[in-house]
Amino acid sequence: MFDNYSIKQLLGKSNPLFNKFIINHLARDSKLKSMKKIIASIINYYYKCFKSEGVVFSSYPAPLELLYSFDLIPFIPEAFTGLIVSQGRERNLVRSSEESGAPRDACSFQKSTLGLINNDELPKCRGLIYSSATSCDSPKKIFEILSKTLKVPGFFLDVPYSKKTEANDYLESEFNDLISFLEKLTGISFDAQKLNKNIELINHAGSLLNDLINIRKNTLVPIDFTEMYSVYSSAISFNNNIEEVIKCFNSLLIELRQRIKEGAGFSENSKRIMWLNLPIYHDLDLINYLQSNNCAVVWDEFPMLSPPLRVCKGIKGLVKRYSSSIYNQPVNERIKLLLETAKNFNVDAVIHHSHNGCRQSCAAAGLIKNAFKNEGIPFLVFEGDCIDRDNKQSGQIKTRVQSFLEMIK
Amino acid sequence: MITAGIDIGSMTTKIVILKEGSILAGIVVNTGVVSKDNALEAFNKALESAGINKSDIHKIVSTDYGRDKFPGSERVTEITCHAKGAHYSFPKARTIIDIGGQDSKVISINDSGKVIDFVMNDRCAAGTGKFLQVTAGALNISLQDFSKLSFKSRNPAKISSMCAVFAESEVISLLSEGVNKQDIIAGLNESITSRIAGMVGRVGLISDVVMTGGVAFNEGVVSALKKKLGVEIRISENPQIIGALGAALIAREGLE
Repeated sequence: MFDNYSIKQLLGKSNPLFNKFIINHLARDSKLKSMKKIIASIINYYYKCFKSEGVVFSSYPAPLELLYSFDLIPFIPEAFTGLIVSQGRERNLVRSSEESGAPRDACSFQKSTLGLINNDELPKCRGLIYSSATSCDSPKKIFEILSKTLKVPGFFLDVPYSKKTEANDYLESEFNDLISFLEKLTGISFDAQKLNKNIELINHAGSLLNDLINIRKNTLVPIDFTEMYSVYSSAISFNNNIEEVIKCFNSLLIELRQRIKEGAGFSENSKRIMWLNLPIYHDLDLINYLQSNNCAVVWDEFPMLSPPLRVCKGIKGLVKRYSSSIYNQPVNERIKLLLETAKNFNVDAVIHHSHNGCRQSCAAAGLIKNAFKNEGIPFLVFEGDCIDRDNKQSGQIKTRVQSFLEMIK
Repeated sequence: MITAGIDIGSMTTKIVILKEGSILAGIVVNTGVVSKDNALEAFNKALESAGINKSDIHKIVSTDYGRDKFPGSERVTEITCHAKGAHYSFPKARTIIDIGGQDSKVISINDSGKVIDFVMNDRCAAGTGKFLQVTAGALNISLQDFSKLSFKSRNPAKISSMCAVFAESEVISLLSEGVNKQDIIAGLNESITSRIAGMVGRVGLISDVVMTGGVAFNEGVVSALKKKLGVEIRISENPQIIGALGAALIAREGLE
């Protein structure tokens, strides 16, 4: 439907066309009234990005509190790429990046981003912020390429792979350097009070997100996996309007609690699945297949990239939020968290989709599988590609998932 | 009670017809193009071999690559079917190695025959029947000769490519360098068994080990695999039909 339109053409047409384009990927079949508000807020956010005089591209997690303090709009290219794929446009984007020199086995999220840049299909960029606090290392290199291609300044936030006090002191100095970078970029002086107000708001939104994550601890699961992904899409940037997101999350929580009271959602007899790494964005039918076969995804790993923590005010709060990601710690910490979570969410089985680009995250899949096997929890690992549908046959993946469901029946 | 299992693989279609636990027919035909018509044609051959009509069959389970192509059947994956068939044939089986035309898999089962873990080859034809077929073609020998020649090898060649297409080129290069065929085949067997041993390691090796699929007929590969894993490998008289047998058994269980 959208194959013949570039993003800018879609924006230039009419709101309904761009809206349909975004909705097509999100929880389009959701019967939750609050989900419509969440999706509307995501659409408004992307409109704002494309219509603005310049956004700041950031890897994920992004220092949102700080960017908002400088009146900047953060834009996460990887998250936007996730939306693009549902339209089948990633083939051209991936090929375009390969034609400009990207290796065949590089991460397809990053290659699609390069493709979008080649096609001039991203919002106007004022500056770049990228950090080492991610599950993969490819954004670091891609953002360097973007900085050169777009001729905009970039800042690398070096987040130590350590929880020691000295590491936190170092990270604090990194944030102070980032503040200087942002002051120079915007010509605005840093306002500590503004930062603290944003930390407070994001703490509030984060605690609601935690409640939404934890609601799936209930024996009756009131929300499905694709709906939760729309919630995360909203939380990734908090859509630059945190108050609006807080309202949306609050109304969703009320609706979900009501669903539990009414007995709606996945039945109590459903198999409770923990999903690790990312879903396959171009093959959401796989998720639908799982859900139509008496399985409910009760927990997934995505929010752990930037755990919704309540942090203290000031730079120390930012340090705490960044240093708490399990991806920036030895794998044992990740295993410990996953096992505890599996117990708390009463998980029956685990599915680990190893996205070809996620080297750092997927390298540990074997260790995690063994830890779960020792606990007697069935575990499936399969290789795939979140974005590039030509990189793996969907039939092969479906056979693995079907076999696994037959195994845990 | 008569039940049938049809295993539609990428290279061959296998059909087993069961009556009260006895095999009435067990046939293997080339799949050709995976289509509903070809699957039905193969099934008619099995009916003829068993001397029965389709209406005599109470239930059919289809499995493998073409399982969706057979009308009127229940679909079950090849993992579950191979586990069922191997456990029925060898009740002490705990690890099943299946090397088929297009894929290879290792399945771990418990003492009741329930699948507890499995892995399948990813991405390409590395370590599959297709790999052997392509390289046998490059050596210009039959699969039967290919199976036995490696036993004459004194100095197995080093094959670095697991990709069937690259391995074919590598085999041609080795031939042009004067390396003899038996050493090349021994090298290819070593290459396949390393791949399979890696998969076995991922589910954990527990005896008894059973091998199924067409490659179980290849004595060279089986021998190299025994050596690599350091265990005996059990193989039924017709390892190709184990998946179809499992499917027929699952069909029977569904009626009980």
